Amino acid sequence: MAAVTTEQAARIAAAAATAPAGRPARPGYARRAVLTALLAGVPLAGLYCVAAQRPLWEPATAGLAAVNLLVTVSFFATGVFVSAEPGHRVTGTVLIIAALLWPLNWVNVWMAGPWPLVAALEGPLATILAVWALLRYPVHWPRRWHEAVVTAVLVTLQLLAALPVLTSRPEWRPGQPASLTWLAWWPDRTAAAVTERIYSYSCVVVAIAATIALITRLARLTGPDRPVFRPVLFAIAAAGGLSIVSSLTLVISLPHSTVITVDELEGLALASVPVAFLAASARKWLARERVLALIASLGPAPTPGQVQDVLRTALGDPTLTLLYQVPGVSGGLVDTGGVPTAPVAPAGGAVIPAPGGVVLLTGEPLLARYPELVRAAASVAGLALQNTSLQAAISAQIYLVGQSAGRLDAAVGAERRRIRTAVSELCDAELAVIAGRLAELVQAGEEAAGPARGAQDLLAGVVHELACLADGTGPPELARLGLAVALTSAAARLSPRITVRADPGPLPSGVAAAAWFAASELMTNAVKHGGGCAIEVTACRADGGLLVEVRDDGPGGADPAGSGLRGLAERAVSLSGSLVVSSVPGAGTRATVRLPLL
Amino acid sequence: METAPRPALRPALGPRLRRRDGQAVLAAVVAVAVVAVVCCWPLARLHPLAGVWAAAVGAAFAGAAWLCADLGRGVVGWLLACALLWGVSAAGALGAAMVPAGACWAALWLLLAAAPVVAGRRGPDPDGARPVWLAAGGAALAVAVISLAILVPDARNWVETTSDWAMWWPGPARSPWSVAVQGAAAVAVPAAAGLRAWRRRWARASVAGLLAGLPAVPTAEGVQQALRTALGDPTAAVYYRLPGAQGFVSSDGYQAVLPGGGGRLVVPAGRPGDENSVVLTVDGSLGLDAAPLQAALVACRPALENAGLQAVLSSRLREVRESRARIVHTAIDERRRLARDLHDGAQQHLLVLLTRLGIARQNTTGPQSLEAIDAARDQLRVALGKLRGLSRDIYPSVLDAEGLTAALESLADSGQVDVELAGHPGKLDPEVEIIAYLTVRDIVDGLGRQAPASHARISLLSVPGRLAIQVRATPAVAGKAVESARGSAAEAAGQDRSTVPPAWLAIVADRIRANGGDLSVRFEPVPATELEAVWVEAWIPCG
Amino acid sequence: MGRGMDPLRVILVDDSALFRQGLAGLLAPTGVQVSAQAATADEAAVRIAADRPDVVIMDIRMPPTYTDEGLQATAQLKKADPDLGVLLLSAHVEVASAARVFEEHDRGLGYLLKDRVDNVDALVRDLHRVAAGELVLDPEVVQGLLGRRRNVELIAQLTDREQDVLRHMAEGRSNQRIAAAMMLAPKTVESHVAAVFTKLGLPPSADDNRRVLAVLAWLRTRAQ
Repeated sequence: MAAVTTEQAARIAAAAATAPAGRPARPGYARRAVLTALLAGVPLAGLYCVAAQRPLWEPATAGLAAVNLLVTVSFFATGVFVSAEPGHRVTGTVLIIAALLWPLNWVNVWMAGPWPLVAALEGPLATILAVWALLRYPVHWPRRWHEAVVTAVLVTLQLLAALPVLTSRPEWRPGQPASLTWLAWWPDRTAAAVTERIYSYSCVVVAIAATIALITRLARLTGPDRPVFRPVLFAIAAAGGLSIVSSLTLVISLPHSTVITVDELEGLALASVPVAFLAASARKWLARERVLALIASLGPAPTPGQVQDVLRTALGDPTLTLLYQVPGVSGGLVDTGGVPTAPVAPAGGAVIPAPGGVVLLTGEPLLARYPELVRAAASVAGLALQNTSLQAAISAQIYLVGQSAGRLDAAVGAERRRIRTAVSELCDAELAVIAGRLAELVQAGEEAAGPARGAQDLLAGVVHELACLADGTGPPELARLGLAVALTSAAARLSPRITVRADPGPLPSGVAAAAWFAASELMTNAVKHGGGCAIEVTACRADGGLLVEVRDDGPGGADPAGSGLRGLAERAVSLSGSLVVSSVPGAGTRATVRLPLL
Repeated sequence: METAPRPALRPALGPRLRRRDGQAVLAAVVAVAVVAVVCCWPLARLHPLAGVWAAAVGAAFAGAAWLCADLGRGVVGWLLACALLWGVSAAGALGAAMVPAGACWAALWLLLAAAPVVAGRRGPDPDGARPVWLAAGGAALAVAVISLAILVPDARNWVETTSDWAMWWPGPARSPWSVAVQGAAAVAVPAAAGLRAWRRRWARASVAGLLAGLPAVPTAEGVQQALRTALGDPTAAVYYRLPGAQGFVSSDGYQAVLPGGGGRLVVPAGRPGDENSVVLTVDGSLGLDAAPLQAALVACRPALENAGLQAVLSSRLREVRESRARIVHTAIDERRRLARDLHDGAQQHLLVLLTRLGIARQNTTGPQSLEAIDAARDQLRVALGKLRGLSRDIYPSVLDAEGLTAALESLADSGQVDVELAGHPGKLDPEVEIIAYLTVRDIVDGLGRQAPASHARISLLSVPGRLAIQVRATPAVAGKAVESARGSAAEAAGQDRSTVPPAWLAIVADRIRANGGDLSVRFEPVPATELEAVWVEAWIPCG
Repeated sequence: MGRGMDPLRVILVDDSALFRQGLAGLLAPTGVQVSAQAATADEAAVRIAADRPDVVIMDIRMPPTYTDEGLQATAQLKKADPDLGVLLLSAHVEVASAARVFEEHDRGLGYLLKDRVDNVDALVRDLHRVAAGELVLDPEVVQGLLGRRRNVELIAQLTDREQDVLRHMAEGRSNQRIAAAMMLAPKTVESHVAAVFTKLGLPPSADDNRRVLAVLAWLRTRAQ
């Protein structure tokens, strides 16, 4: 597989950023044109049809006239829709022409002027044009000579329809006066009869052949066209069958009313074809949803191979290849096996760029006619593929942050140890010397002995305090004098508004230290955020544990999920205790730390 | 413990029929359709078009029963009964069967008239069936009006001219026009049913089509925004369940509690068997149907799962980040407390000791004692100096008192590295200030250790939302120490040498990142020398 | 010496009772009279209003916030009575706040480290200087300023004598006091001062206190 050059990759990326192949450059414009054509053309076509068949609007034949109107209008509308599709402008135009020619089949009821001639010459033209257009849709003939053959056959049929006219006189047909304009080139009764018979039989043959051709072409549709065009298939089968029957009436003679009925039915069946077309285009639009449902059946973390298989099933194209972008691979596109691949389509196929950095290679050109479907399918495929890489990316981030947190933890721990060592060793030398000198003074027993003794106590206190600070076990008075005294002095240092009521009795040092740290942090919080209100601290035993509560009636509104309180809660939990904070805005805050004792 | 959200609405048979039920309904529908069409044959013989039209209407009723299968067996039965009754009343073209045909016709219109009364209540209409009931009521009303309009003028005639009660039944088979008009009125019901089915599929496809409108890498918030646009409900919200039954997380990655009740529709959108892993809540008063919504969400499942994954993972990422930040802040708080304790405790007491010894000295005469006191006082002063230095090391109180600039100036005065400060950021959050201070201090210390006698220029810039710190350090001699530290680290990582920070800078970077900022380092060769300048850029979010 | 021959009257303001006790004990045998003590700035204001001392010895860090209560109280007291002498005691070397305080009040102000108090004679001398309206700055603070990297080269241009003169000037001494401290003739001191000012590029200034401020400003914020 050749590696993708950067310019190819750039081109693909640029193409993926713009509209995919097959979509008209200005969809809004096309839609507006279609709407205008419909709103203007359909009433005009209807009026034209009504006017052309005016004599038919009798009670006996009103049904037929109504059916003809329906056929004209529906074929006109279908022609407008089809001509808006890319590559089928000619097909649509031909359908519109067929729609407009249909009423001409019946202008012979005017029985005056050139109209019967027109009707007779026109003959099967409308049907021929419709058949020719339908044979071209939705995919063109695979080979040009197929189309040439079909066109030749249909042209021959049209010429055969003209022959009986050319070899007959107007008055030879039932109900036609001789005063009609006619093209009687070489009128001859036998010739007329023979040509008439040939034409009738060939009508039947061509009707049968056309029906079979249409049905086989539609049945051979692949991919997403298949379910979309099924209703058209049925409609055409019905219409074909009925037109065979109707052409048989040319051969077999039946009573007039039966013929009218058959014509009505044939017209109804023909009118159902455009309706089927409309249903088909709606199904085409809805097919997207079914594709998405199919793709949604993928598992939560699908492999690219699974995604490709599902896409092949959903779009009905077994030659579909999925290429997607992988960062870090030069050129950027890899296939489902992870091999870098160039976005080159197989012969006759197409390269379809899609959002999400996904490129579809297909051997089926028809997928280009379903641009929205392909876009949706490809974007879902892209999403499914991103799922895996997203997981990896965020997991990697979580890992990195965890690593960083671990490093920080280690660094913080090392610093803490360093600081503690510095504190404990700080004044060892100096304080030792001082102690020695003070001892000297005491021993000397002079005037300085008294103050020296007091100074010794003070010094011992300082040494002990430094040792406690180095240990991190809280202030020295905690171990010496208990939690109550320690809390009171801490409160006094912080603010005069704090009242302490504590009688917890003797406590294990770890619990006392934890309670002291928690209480001092909560007190600091209360002083900082309390807004000058009174703060009450209580510490007592309850339910086999130590309860420390800090309550204030300040503005409240403390966030228990805030970093500081969460840290406190974590530390409490690490000692099998708990922290409960209730803080109602405007009604104060109450924080309770519970630490179990034994 | 979060319980699974109970959906506010549940369609009667579920979004899709179960297989067995579906087949039974299909069989019934086909049978009734055939019967209705066959019953119209006598009418077709008389008036072909009328017969075809009547057959079409009967078949339409049967088809509507199939389309409305998800509304429940009652509705299916009702529509099939209407189809049968229509067919039989059309068969009343046969003269002998006129009375039973008329009765069927009357029953049909009674059924149609009763529908809106029984089923068409006010209030939420999750299945979108209200148009069907309204169409039925409308059809019955229309026919009643037309029949009265036709009959009443003729009533006196009839009473006088005939006593054949059968003639009083204005069934459809009276005339082709009667068939046409009544058929047109009746076909409103299957048309409404068809329209309903069409609208639901259209809605599903258009909501599913929103996937094409999603950006290339849809975030959870992007998916939620796209759903809001597609549904036309700016309050729609998607919630994803956290693993381990820890509750739900909203689209922006924060833990959330599902809003329950209060007119909000709760639609589970997860995989079958695990529907409550993704939940969508919409405003119930918008009249959105739950079933097509659910089907559309099924189609959007890849995007929703993606988004859910992102939301869950980003919530976990946020937690990890917060715990990392907590490490830093706890350490800072500890330091502050330690410095304060040193100041309030040991330092204060040593000062008192100093004054006491000073007093004692005044009252002492013996030379030995004097010498001892003087020696003790000297040592005390030394100890106090050391304490002061350590206290400043642990936590610079000047930071709290005078701000970042002053603290950095005193830092600049005391180091080995020649530091030049630029920029005066003004008053900032105390947390930001301490982090900035520690960052600058560690950088200056690190530079001093690795490349002593360098010159460093430190600029602080306060921009909206950020404090930017730039350090540019030029070593006075070739910074070989920096080189080797960097080089080995770079080789170990296999990366580009010019951007890998030395190890001591990594801790600084960790601390900054723990607070939501970032740090980058660059090494630039100084032209015409062998030296390399270090360029560090860091920023801390503030405010 | 104080105003006339009356003993100097001072008020001690510090939140630590032990320290106040110690300091009062230290000052007792000297000629300085400790007329009152206070624990917080508010209390101090009350006592000062009642007692009218010559100098207030005030700790900078006091409750409730333990940051700069002393500085704020100084500003208020000076506004009320510009002649009142205030001697600020600080536990840490904080150059910026010292300098700021000197910029705001240019007479009768002192800034000392708490360690300094045990040298009673120097303390009493500084109290008298503050009472007389001079400026007093702790030598350690001045040493820190002189030792700043960017000042070192320029200061190295001065002779040793001139450096000493600079230091004394920064500590707030007038020419007279410098002469007394360095045992030099006043004229010699004047010429040294002039030389220092010329070499450092400072404008000469008549007022002693202004001179201190100029030197301090120069030492702190010399532009590169």
